[in-house]
Amino acid sequence: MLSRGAGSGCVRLLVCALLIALGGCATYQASMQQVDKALVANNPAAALKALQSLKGGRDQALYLLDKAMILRMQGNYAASSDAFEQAKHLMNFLEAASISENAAALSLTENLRSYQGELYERLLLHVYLGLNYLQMNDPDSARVEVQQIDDMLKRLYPGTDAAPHGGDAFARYFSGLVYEDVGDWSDAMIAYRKAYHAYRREGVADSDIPHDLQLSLCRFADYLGLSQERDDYKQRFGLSSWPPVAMSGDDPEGQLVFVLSNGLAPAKLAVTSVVQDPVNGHLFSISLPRLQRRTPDIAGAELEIGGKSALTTQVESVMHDATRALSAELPRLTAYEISRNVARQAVANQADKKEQGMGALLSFIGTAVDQADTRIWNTLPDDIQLARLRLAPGTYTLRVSLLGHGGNAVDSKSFDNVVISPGRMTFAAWHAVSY
Amino acid sequence: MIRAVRHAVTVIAAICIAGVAGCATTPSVQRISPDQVTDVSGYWNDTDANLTAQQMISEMLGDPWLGNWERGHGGQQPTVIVGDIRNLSSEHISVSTFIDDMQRELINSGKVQFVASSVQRGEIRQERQDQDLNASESTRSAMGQEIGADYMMQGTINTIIDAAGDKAVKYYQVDLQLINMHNNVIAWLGQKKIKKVVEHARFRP
Repeated sequence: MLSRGAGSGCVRLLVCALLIALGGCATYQASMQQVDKALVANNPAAALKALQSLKGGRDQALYLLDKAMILRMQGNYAASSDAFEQAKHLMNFLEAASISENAAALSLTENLRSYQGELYERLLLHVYLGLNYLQMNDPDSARVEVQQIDDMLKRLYPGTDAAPHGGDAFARYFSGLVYEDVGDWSDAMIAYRKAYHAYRREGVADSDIPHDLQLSLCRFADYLGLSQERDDYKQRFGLSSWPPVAMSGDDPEGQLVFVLSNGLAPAKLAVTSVVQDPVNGHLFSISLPRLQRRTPDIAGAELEIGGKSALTTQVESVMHDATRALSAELPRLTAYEISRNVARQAVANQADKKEQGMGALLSFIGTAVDQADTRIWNTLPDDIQLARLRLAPGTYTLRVSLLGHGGNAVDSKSFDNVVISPGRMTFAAWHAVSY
Repeated sequence: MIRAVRHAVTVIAAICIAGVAGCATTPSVQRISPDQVTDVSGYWNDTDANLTAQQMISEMLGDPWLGNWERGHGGQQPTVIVGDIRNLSSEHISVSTFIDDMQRELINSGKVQFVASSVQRGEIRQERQDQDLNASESTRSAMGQEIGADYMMQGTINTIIDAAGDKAVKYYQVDLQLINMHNNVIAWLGQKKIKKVVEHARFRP
């Protein structure tokens, strides 16, 4: 029998859970609003300060990812890499199923799980960490990161080595760039090929495959003597010429690769539907996350360096990756929501038998606790764009103009002392936050 | 149904206890011998670096190139410099620790001389320039007295990982070579392989 004491104890525990769950949720939302505000105001130091409240606990991985990204924006690549490495190890550890967190998610709310990150986020962690190493002139460490991308996809999806819901196209493309930089040209070809197939799986038409990737596929297939494959790409992309791949150490020119991280990733909102049973007052609720795109004010960027110019092209849409990841997750989230409603109803019915109205109270608290998990790595950009230029060796000033949707320049920045070395790739990047 | 309520209470209590327990954990520290084998994560570690350095250098010093050199140079020791040892693996391996281990083994063997790396040489040359200006003549180290290396040691560290689910087989391969600086002849090739089976936990608290 349920005694009055047991019933009130149950209420106290549910209230405790309510405070834990809602407290964490409110802290996350409030902190991220401040972080976003500071980033849009181009004040990463304030963003880092606002982020501190997320440190530790279930949001630790998210805290580290956001911290790493903000430190990157500040140009502090070494500290950013440290945070990324910590996040990576934590996320690997969190791959193991947690008994207590699964029980909590099944009975109370998804918010009681540690944030593990979606696959596209884990891939982009390696990409941005690799980019940090490249910008610190350590291409061998960047190579380690792209090897880890390959290892992770092989381990999680043996047989296909491909992300089932997309998100791996740019990670593979970036891998090709890194392998090319360190002179591992067979590996570069394999990575570019995997990138092409990943874009195609995501529904990108041949004509919309990033032009630089089209050229890379043709030039490496040509260089490696894969004539049939080269002719196939040539026909698919309508290309007739491409820059040659020089023998190792013989390339008189260097390359500039510019990466624009544009805007901020979508926010997640909770969409909650609540229905009340008119007879007993018990509440039934379905609370699921929904993505809200934060459309950047910037459409692209124009580069000017050494008398040459180039426009960036989009190589990654985080919004699309997040949408596909959420769509794949929704059936599980919905099933868990239904099971939590059934469990809450059973508890509420039993409580009503002991004390009229107690069930409605328990059901109210349980519904309030059970809000959709709205956590997402939202200091990622909305999209990533890239441009590559071949240049004679020397030291340059790179001028980057951000273009609005009407094609007008809305902001610009100069990167001084950009050193181009023969046969090497120099990486430069800018994260332009706007929405 | 009472059971269901009790079950719910138990679950909530377990969650609260797990949360509190997580916060209360303090690190425990135990000092151990640096020679003790400690495999915590399955990644390349100090034991791998030490064992590889010891075994490869022992092989290197036992191979004919050394005797050939000594015979051709009146018993004189060859001078070796460490060149580029590239980490081509999928782990961030501290190559400098590995190089230090190898240098130590080589120097302590007494069979070869070692010269400072290009980075170290730069700093020493700066100091020598400074001595030219500031040190007394009797204590000054003159320029142009360096010993040129006879051999350069180069190499790579590679991994092949075969993993599915929570199980992984890690295969490390370290390749080293000694190249004669005078004629580019590869005087010695060494290889060390390490294979590990790593099983990750399926569950956590």
